[in-house]
Amino acid sequence: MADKKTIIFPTLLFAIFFFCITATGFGLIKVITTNISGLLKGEGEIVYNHIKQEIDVDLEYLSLLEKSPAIITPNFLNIMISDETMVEDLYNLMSNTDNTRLDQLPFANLLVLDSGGNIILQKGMIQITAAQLHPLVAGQQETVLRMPTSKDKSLFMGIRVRDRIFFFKIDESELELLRKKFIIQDLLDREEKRFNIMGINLYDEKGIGMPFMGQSYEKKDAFVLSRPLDSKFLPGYTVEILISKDLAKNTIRSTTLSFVVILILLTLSGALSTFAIFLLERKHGKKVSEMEKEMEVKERLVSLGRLSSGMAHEIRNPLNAMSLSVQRLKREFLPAEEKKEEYLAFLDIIRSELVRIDRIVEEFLLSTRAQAPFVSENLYALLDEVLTIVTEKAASKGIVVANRVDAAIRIECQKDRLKQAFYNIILNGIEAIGQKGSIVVLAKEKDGFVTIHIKDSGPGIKEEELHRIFEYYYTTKDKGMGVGLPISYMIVKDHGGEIRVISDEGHGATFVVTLPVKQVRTMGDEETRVRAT
Amino acid sequence: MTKLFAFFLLVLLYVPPVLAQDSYSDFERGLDLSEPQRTQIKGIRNKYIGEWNAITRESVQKRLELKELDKHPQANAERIGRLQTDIRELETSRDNIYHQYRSEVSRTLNERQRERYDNFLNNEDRRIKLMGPRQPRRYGR
Repeated sequence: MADKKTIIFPTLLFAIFFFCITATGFGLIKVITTNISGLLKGEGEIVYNHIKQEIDVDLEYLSLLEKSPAIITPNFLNIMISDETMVEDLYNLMSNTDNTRLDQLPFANLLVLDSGGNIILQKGMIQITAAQLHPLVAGQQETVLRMPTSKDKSLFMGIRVRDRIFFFKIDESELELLRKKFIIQDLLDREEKRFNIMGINLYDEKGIGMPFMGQSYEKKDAFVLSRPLDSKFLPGYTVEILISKDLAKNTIRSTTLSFVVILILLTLSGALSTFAIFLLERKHGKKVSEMEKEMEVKERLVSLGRLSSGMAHEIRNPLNAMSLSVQRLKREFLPAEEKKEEYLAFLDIIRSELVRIDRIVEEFLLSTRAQAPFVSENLYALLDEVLTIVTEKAASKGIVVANRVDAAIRIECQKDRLKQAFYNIILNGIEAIGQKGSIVVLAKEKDGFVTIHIKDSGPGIKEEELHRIFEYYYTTKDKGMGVGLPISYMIVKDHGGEIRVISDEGHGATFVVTLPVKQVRTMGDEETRVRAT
Repeated sequence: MTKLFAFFLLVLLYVPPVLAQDSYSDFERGLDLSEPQRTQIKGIRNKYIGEWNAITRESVQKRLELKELDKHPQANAERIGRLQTDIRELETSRDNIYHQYRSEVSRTLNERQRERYDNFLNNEDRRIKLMGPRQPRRYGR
């Protein structure tokens, strides 16, 4: 259930976050699309105004061509010489017209001959002199041209294209219309190129079907701006500007792609985060569970300790009475001479056993004396004192005990209790080794803590026993009581430290005791820093 | 998006000089030419217009000739080169004549008229440069 909650809450939170991001992203894309449309429209408007202005300027000059304005401006000169390119344009038109489309040529007066000079097509009235015809038929020339003059304002042209000879005459009114068309078409072509526009169409007053100028562009992928031209030279005409949407589409596509990539990354990071939260929550839960278990063990140890301490006190009172009674028996109730020696021997046994019980009780009481003051001690010296006590016992079993602790390390502690803790651990090691082996004590100081390693070469501890060795009365030894390690555990905990065992069965065990260098203990609201010597 | 903005800026760069231009009628009206000035300017125009027309006719003839030769460019390479040079020279000649014409007209104007005249003609020059040269269409290609 807890696992489900751990997953559901962050997932739900992430889903809301994801939804918000997605909605914002799509909103942004919509805004960008709208802005781009606005931009394209703005661009279309600018191009439209430009074209309108250009058409007005050029057609004004064209209208002045015959009258000739007082001042010849560069633009007017440009219009004047536009006939040059217009004639080239006509040449290109003729060169690229095949025989099936001869009747579509836009001339009122047209004559098409074959290479022998025989008429193929004739439209309107056209007079050709022998001097004009002969060079083309004979192949001496490929073109004949008569440009408009002040006397004859028509344009006459003859062209030989492959096996055809074309003659056409464009009279003044037709030429004026042709110039107009040519100038506008040229203008539209150049504007398309210059502004990189898909196309510009100009519709006459009918406004439908094929454009008057331009081409029938595919409008599907274009932004189309259609406006009345509003020109006094082309009344009723409409201009249509087609701007390619490719650039806009690419922009929107790349924005959308970036957004999708962000969403994918977000989804992945969200999933990973949720998983990480789940793992952390599980780890946290496990730690809490361990702490609860530890607290439970500690509470049990504390209550057992208190009970044992009370019992020890109670034991000492009858011990005192018994000791006094033994002294009186020895002093005042001596038996007859023949029993005296035996009597005194028994009393000595009773007395020495009473002393031994008293010492055991004394030691136990010492181990549970949690209110003793904390004093700064040299760790090496403290451990050395412990090792001195156990060395004889260890030596009798062929066990070497070594103190390799740095002599500079000092630690605030309840000396006697901490000695008791180390004594229990080392003694446990000696008993575990049995015969021949070693016990090494190491220590290192880091970040305000001292970590002490007590490593023995015994058989190690089975994995299933590892979590029980600090429990009261748990023992795997035949003669063990199961109180030594729990007392060590309690003492280390009372010092604000940690104790754990690392063991590989068959390769010895290492007790790792971590203790703070300095003690900070709180009692109620009052913080008491222990006395340091 | 950057490309789109760059394109938009390009459009803005091209357009204002043209939109700022007066029509020819407004320009001529603004000059406020006196009758003697008008007569003098028309005289200058008539002197040069014949030359321009002659150059145009000659240029057209040479361009058509060039088109004929372009059908066999390798065989006519020398003549094509010569014709292209001739056409360029005609264009230069036309430009030079125009500069002469422009100076002569300018000398007939007073300071205010000359400033307006130069502004208008410079604007048109700039517009023509922006628009690029006229190109004949390429039908069926």
